[in-house]
Amino acid sequence: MFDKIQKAQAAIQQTCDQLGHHVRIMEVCGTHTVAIFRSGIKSILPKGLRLISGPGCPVCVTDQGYIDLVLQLADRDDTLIATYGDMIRVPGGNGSLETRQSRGNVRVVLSTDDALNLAVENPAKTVVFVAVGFETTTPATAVAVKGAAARGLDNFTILSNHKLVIPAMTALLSDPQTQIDGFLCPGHVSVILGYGAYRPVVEQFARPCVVAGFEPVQILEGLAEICRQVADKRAQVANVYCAVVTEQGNATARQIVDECFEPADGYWRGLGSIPGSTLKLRATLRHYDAFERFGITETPAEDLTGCRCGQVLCGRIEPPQCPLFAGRCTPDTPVGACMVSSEGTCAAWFKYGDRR
Amino acid sequence: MQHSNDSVLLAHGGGGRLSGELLRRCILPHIENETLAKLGDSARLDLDCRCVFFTTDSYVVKPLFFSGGDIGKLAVCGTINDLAVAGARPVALSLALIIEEGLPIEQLERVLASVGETARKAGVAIVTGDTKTVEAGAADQMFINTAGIGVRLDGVELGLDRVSPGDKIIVSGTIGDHGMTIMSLRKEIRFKSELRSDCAALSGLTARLLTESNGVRFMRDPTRGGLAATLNEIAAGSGCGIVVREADIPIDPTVQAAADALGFDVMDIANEGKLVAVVAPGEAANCLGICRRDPLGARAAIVGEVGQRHTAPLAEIITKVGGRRIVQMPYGRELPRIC
Amino acid sequence: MCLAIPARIVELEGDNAVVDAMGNRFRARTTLLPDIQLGDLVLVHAGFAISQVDEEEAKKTWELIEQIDAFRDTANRLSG
Repeated sequence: MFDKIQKAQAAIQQTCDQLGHHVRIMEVCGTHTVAIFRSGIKSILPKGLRLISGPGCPVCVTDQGYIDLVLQLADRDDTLIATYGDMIRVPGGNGSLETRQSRGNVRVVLSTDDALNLAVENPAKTVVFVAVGFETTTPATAVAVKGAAARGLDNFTILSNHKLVIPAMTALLSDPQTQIDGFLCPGHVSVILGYGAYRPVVEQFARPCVVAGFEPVQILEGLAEICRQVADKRAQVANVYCAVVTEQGNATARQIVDECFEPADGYWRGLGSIPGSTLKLRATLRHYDAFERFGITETPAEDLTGCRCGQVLCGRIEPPQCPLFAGRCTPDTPVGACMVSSEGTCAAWFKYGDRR
Repeated sequence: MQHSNDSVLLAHGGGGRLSGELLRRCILPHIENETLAKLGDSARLDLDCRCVFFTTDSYVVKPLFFSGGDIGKLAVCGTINDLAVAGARPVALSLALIIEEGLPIEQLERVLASVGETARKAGVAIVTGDTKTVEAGAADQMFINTAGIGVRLDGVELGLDRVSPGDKIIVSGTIGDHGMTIMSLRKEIRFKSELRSDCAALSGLTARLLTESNGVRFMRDPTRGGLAATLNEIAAGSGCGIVVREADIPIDPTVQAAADALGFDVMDIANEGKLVAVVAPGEAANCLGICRRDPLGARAAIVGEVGQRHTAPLAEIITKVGGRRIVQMPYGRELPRIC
Repeated sequence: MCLAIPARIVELEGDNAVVDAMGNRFRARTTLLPDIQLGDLVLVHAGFAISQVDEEEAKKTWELIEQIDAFRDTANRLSG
C-alpha cells in the first residue's frame, strides 16, 4: 500500500506546484473529515491543498429546533426515545439526551430493529426513533417503518430529520461566496446513490466530484484524482471506491426509501433552508410520524450562544477561528454540534490537531 | 442455612447469625489463610520494611461474569496490578462486598472462588474484609471494593520524575481486549465473539522486569481510558512529549474489528492485564525480552519514545501513512455510533 | 457520515443474517440486498447490509480486506 500512498501524494504535490495557487477541496462527509485527521493524512498533504470540511455530519447539520423537539418528547412520561449513540450528547436549549438518561426513557440503539423491539416490549409507551442521517442511514429507517406498518405496531413512531447530500452540495455551489474547486464525495452515501448521481452537479457547476472510501489510500487517491482534473481543467464524476460503489448504486434501498418518504424543504444548521433537502414521511404513513402523533412542528432555533457552527459547516471558517473554540466550547462542554459530534469538524480539530 | 440455589437476603449483611453463616459457608472457604481465619476487626501484618505501598479500587463491572474473568478476578488483579506497577510486591488485600438482595448464592460463590483462585496464584492473601447487603435496586448485583498493601522491591524507585527524553515506551501486549469484551456484553450492543478479557495479575512480570533490569523508570497499567489516557498521563506527569508509532502498537484484529463496528477508538479502551513501561533506551531490548518470555507479555512491543521537555507536552502518534497527530485524553464514556 | 464495516454472511434466513467480522458475530438485515447469498462479503451499516463487497477489487486498495483474508487463513479459533 505504501507505494500507492506515495504515488498519490506525489500526484497531489505536482498539481499544487503546477497550479501555483491553492486547490480547495471540500470533503462532504464527516467520516472523511475524521479519517483525514485520524490517519494523519492532514499532516502530510502539501500546503497548496486546502481541505474544507463540509456539511456532511448529520448530527452537526441538525438544527437546534429539532433537538429541542426530541428533548421535549423525552421529558414526557409516555415515551421511549430510541436513538443512535451519536445524538446522545448534542446540546439543545436545555440539556441533552445524556442529561436525561437517569429518567430511564432514553435508549441507545444500534439499529432500527432494536427500536422496533423496544416498541414490541413496551406496549404502554410510544417509541420515538430519532431518525437522523444521510442516504446511507435512511433505508434502515424506511425498512423499520414498513415493518411497523406490516405488524400494526401502533406505538412505534419516527421523528425524521433525514437529509439529502446533493441538495446541500448544490446550495453550497450556488452561493457566490463558495470557493471550492472540487468535491470528495461520501463513500457510503454513494453506495446507495451510485456515483452517477453526481453528474448533474458536475454538469451544472463544472467541478470534479470524486467518490472515495475511508482508508488513507482511498482518500489520497480520491484527492489525487480531483487535483489531476483541476490541473487539466476537467470536471467529471470519478470513483475510486470500486469495491462497493457502482454507477447505479443500490436501487432496492432507494426504492424502499421512496415508498416511505418524500423530499421536503428542510433547515440545515449553517446553510439555512434548502428546498427538497429533508425527508418527510409520506401521508400514507403519517400514523408512524412523530410530528403528526404529537402535533409538533420544527421551527429553526435562533442560536444565541455565539456558536459559529454554521460558518464552520460551510467551510467559511476553520474551527480555531470560532471565538468559542477550545475555550468555552470543548468536547467535554460542547456549545455546538460540531464539537459534540464524533464527526464534527471542531471535534476533529480539537481531538487531533496541535492547538499550541 | 439455605443451599446454593437460594439468594442473598438482606439479613445476610446484618452482622448476626445469617451473616456469620454466609461468611463461613460461602466466603471464607474460598479465601482462607491464617490471618483471615482470626477474623479480627483488623488484620495484623508484620512487615519488615519502612516503605509500604497502599492502593484501593472499586469494581462495578456488568455483567459479573465474562469471557476471561469475572468481577472477583478483576478486583484481585486490579489491585495487585496497581501495586505491581508501582514497584511493590503485593502482600495483602482487603475485600469488601456490597451485595444486592436477591443475588443468587451460587453466583456469590462463583465470584469468591475466583477471588480465591486468583489471589492464591498470585501469592497474595485476602486478610480482611467486609460484607454488606442492600435492598434490591440499591446496587447492581454486586459491587466490590479492594484495598491492597505492598512492600517496595529492593532498590526500586519508579516515578514520572525519572522519565527523560530518549526513554523508550513498551506495551506488554495487545490493547483494548478487556473493554471491548465487556462492551460486547452490554445490553444494547450484545454480539457473540471470540473476544476475551485480558484480566491478569502482572506482579510476576513486574518483579522480573525490576530484578532483571535496572532501566525501568515508570510503569502504569492502562485501565480506564486505555493506552491514550496513560500516554497523556505520562506526558503531563513527566513534562516531556511522547511519540508512539501506530504500526507498532499490538492490536488483536478481532478487537479492532469490534471497535470499528461500533465506532470506538481502541486506544481509549480499558485493559486489565497489560502494562506500559518507560525504560532507559539502553535497557529497552532487555526489557522487551523479559516481557516476551512471560506468558502475559508474548506480544510486547516497543511502541515509542519520550521526546523533549515542553511546557505543554503532548502525546502524539505517527500514523501508518507517516502522518502525525495528537492522542487526546478520552472523554470517559464510550458510546456506540453509526456516523 | 457513515461507519460501515465489511463482514461475511455466515448465516442467512430470509433477510435475517448473522455476519462475521474478524471473529465478531453481529446480526444484520439483508433486506436491501435481495440477491445476497451465504458466504458473500458485505458492507454493514447500522445493522443493515448495504452493498456486496467486490473482493478482488477491494484487495487492490482496501488494506482491511487483505487482513480479512489473512484472518480467515489462520487457524480457526471460532467455536461457533
